[in-house]
Amino acid sequence: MKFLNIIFGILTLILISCSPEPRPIEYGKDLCEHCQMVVAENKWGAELVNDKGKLYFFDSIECLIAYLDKKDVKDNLKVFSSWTVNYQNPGELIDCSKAFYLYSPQLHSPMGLNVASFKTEEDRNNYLSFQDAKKLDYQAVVEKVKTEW
Amino acid sequence: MVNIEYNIIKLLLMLFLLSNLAYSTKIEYSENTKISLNEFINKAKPFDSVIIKKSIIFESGIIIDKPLFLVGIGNPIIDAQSKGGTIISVKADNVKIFGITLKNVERTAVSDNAAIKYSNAKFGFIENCTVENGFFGLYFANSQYCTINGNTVLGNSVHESNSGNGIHLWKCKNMFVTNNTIFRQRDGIYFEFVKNGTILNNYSEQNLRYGLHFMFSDSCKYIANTFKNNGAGVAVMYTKVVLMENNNFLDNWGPTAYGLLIKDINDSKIIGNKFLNNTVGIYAEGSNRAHIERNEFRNNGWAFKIMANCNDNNINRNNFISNTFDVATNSRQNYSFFKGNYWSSYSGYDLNKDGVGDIPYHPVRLFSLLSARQSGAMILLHSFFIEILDLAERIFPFLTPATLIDSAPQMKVIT
Repeated sequence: MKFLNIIFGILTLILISCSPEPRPIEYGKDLCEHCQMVVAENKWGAELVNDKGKLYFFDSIECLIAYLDKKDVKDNLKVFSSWTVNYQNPGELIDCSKAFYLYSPQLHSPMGLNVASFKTEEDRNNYLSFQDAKKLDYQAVVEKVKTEW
Repeated sequence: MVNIEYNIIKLLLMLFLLSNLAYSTKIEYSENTKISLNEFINKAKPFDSVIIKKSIIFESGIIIDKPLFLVGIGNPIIDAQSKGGTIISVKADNVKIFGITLKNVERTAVSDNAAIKYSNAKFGFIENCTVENGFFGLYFANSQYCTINGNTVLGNSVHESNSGNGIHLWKCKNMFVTNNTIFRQRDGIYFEFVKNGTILNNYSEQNLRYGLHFMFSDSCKYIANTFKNNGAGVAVMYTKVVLMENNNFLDNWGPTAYGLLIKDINDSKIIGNKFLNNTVGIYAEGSNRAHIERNEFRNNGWAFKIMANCNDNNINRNNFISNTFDVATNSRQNYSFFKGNYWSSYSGYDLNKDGVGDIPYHPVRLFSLLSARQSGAMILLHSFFIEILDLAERIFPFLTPATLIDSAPQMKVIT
């Protein structure tokens, strides 16, 4: 019986360690992996989880994308999941590929690309009245970082 | 030198102010005035002086859209009671505000409310004002030739991540930030897209993130400021031609704290500063052609961390005294030059008595390289085994950058 318990314990451990999960960003404490700034504005932020469950924090989506584009990172990092912070609901993490993005110079993101992420289309529509607002998807944001930032 | 420069600036500003005074009429806003301050200002003519004598005013959302002189006599208080957005919004040139205390700015997630906010304004002037519990303190957007002098900004952003900056400048040109005191904001002083700004003699302490934060701000200088015990020290990023002179970077302790973080900055000068009691004195990444001279690094964990992507930096005539690690780096490559510094841990000799050590000094310890890769190894610091490794590495550099040496280490502290 004891033996079974141990086996069960080990199995649980393996299962837990098999699904790397993000954790909420600790604002004012966590450092941006790309630009070394302390992540401090809770409407902004992003997070990467690699295949081994190691977490990387970013102060904005542009830093995450720029980090992934670095050569040594491209070669070594296996991304398990990538997350961005909901502008509408500070601190909430949403899957980068499922988020809805909006560009506007009125947004003032920490690193100056001014692209906010939203969980739903409706949330994003609240901000369409912002100056020069433009809807983007993840691919478009990646292009924007590579060309403009 | 600094004083003369500052006095000239002050004199010019005084003359400028006096020239305006000649045309203005004085109107008083006192205890007996029945209308709100906003209406009162609305009725004033351009270039009038509005003298506030009422001791406390519960109001916010005051808009100034013409040249005006707003003066508080006897330190009047404008209390926003956490509602109504920005307390005073300035949307015109030549608006000058003196001697007012502003309190309790509304905090919202949507807009950056401030105690005083100038937008698209020229020749603005804020002097001797106090901001208590502001969300943002003094905010300038898209403005030019403004002076912020002798103000105090007291925030309460100790645990709050939705806090604002003390003095916030965005897309400005030719700005003077002088003699201000800032406590407990997110960033004490924040410059984004500022050209030709001068930050002189300010004091910034206990801010949640940075005492001073520079982004994309070219040709700025900051002189004789003190940055103490801030969450992460001072950051200067993505910037060209910055002069940092005679500042004090004190007591920035913590796993993510730096005295000064320089990242992607070019052609800058870091001269005559003091770095005392910081986890890392200077952390340099992607910094090129910087002149780092006559600084004092004392009692820091790491005096100077320089990453391999820094090129052509000159590090001369600095004092490195009692630091756990003098210089740390992340690779065997080094493209910067160290010469003529004083290192308190230099153990060489000077046989010809010219004041310069006869053998070069290797400021990078093997252990600092090891602990950079494996931070847990730090527990072995000062152990016998590590001392032997360090010694062996100094004699035959194998893992540490062989070119990162000071070929003329000074025997005495440089004064």
